[in-house]
Amino acid sequence: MGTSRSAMVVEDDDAIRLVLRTNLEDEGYRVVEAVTAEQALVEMIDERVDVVLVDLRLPGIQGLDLIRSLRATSQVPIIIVTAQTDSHDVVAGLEAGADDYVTKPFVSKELMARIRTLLRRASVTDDEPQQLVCGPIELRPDTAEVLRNGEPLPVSRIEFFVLAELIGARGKVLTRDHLLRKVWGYGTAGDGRVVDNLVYRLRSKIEDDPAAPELLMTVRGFGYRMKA
Amino acid sequence: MKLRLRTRVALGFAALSLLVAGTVSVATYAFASWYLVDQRETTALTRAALDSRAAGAYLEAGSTPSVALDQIPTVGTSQPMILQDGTWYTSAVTVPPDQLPPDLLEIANPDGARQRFAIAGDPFLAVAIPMTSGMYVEVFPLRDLDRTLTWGGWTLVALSAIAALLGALIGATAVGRILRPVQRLGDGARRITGGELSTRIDLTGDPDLDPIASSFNEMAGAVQTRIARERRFSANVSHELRSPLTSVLGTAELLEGGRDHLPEREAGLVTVLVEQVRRMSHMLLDLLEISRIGADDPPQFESADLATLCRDVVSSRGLDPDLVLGDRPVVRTDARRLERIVGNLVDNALHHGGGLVQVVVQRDPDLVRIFVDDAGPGIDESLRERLFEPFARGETGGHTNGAGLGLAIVREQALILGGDVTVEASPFDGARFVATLPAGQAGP
Repeated sequence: MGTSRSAMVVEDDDAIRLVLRTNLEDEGYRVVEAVTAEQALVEMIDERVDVVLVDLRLPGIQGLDLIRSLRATSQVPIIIVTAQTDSHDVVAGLEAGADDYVTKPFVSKELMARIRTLLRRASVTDDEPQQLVCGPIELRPDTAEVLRNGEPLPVSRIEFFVLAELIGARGKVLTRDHLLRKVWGYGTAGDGRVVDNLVYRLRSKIEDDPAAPELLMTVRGFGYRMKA
Repeated sequence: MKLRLRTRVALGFAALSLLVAGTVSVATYAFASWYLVDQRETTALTRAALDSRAAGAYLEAGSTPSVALDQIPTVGTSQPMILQDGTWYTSAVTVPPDQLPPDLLEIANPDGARQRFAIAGDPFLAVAIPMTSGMYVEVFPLRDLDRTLTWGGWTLVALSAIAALLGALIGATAVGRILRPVQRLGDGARRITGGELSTRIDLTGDPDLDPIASSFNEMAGAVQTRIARERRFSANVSHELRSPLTSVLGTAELLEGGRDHLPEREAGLVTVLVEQVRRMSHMLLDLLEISRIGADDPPQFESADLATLCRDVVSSRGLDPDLVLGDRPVVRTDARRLERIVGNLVDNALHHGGGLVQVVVQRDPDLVRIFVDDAGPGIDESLRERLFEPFARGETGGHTNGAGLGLAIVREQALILGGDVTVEASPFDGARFVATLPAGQAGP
């Protein structure tokens, strides 16, 4: 495990922060801690982090606003760690730009496995078989870049891998469950809204009219399909 | 059996209408028949008096009775006859003289004696007037009058029946109108029971009905507020419990990770700690899940490969995935909920049923069944339904431990997916839990 990987934990509960920190350090990450959203924003200026874990209920600036602020300037994977039981909060967090969520109490091993999947897949360089092209969209597996009509598109790594999965199987329907397991590293069935939300974000980047998609199609009740 | 309110009121209205219409009809009939008969008798008497006078005049002038009878202008269908010296003379034979009522001649007087009688069911009126030489009798048929009265009587009966029917109709309609607001209340209550807590009844402006609707709306508002408060409370409790539990669980798991470096005594304690914290964590999550199932989390239907899902569930419990047998249907369902269902059934078999024997997936035309067979002693038939209640405790052999909320959650989740879960005896003497799901469409 490369020591260069770093994770930021934004959590006001000392005990949970300690647990997360210990787990992440055991996995070999350098951990940046923040108790408040303000502190997290300051740390982000100086530190390069590869993944951010955010509690939704924070003192001062709320988790949701922090996610929006981070997303405005960065494509870093953001995972919500929440004790909120109301699924509206989770959906709001995903819409604000988070890539995944875990609810407390979580199983640390599962969370670590998911983070590992997100980050490991981001550095895959050699086993991508062919150049991935779909209409005006072109994927560069070697640099994890996405080009639209030759212009680079700012996509997160998760977005990149969802696109790679969909274009790799273009013309075929991929279920949300399949994507959650392949891209997000879920070991069990997860919440399909995580995928829905990411697809929504992707469309606003790759489609001419995100409301009437021509490349990334929804197959109602089954999943998503990339235009062949 | 108690009749419906609408039926009872309709019957009441019908009875009342019948009573009123019947009374009026009877009175009308009585009056009409008295009036018509009286009219006819007066006419007959007058006519007979005139005719007798004419006949008397002819007889006195020396005519024979037959000639005298011929001189009487026979108006209508009346039949005149004359009795002279013990012999009857008559111009027609409709009423033979021997058929006349026997006491008619005895009561005959100069003002005319009347008597009604019948021949072969046909009614007649006979008028007898003594003359200076003999007796004058004139017979008037009453058949047409009788027919008029019969017809009129039946008409009144029919009108009374129609009045009764109209009464019933008016009664039923009136009750319908009165019941409509009550039905609206009933519909509102049903919608609230069905979870639409914001349901309110529109006020109609009717001063008799609006207070009821207002009370109903106040009650609905109170229920809604209370439920919202309890939901908030449970969300807060859950939040407050989740945070410490997260750190305890996380810490326990970290300790477990380093157990190999601990002395034997501490390692044993850590094992207990981790087990119990996990149990508590599952319990809390189950509790939260069952209290909010379906609340704001609609099922997400997607095609799912049932056999693969079951194999994943079984292997994630450290068991051989080949315990999953049967068909490999692809159905439209919510994989997350289905995984909870199968997972909880497998956990139940492991913890309370003496172990998992097999999981069988069976595809039928319209539905899919998942059988989960355990190795326990089976479940007594009388306890089977109770098993799905929260915190139910089986009382037979292997099911002595509280099954907690697992099976209750299974049932709730299955219902949300449009299916159900039941338990029966397995072919291996244990219990067989059967999850039934609609097959939906397979494949995109």
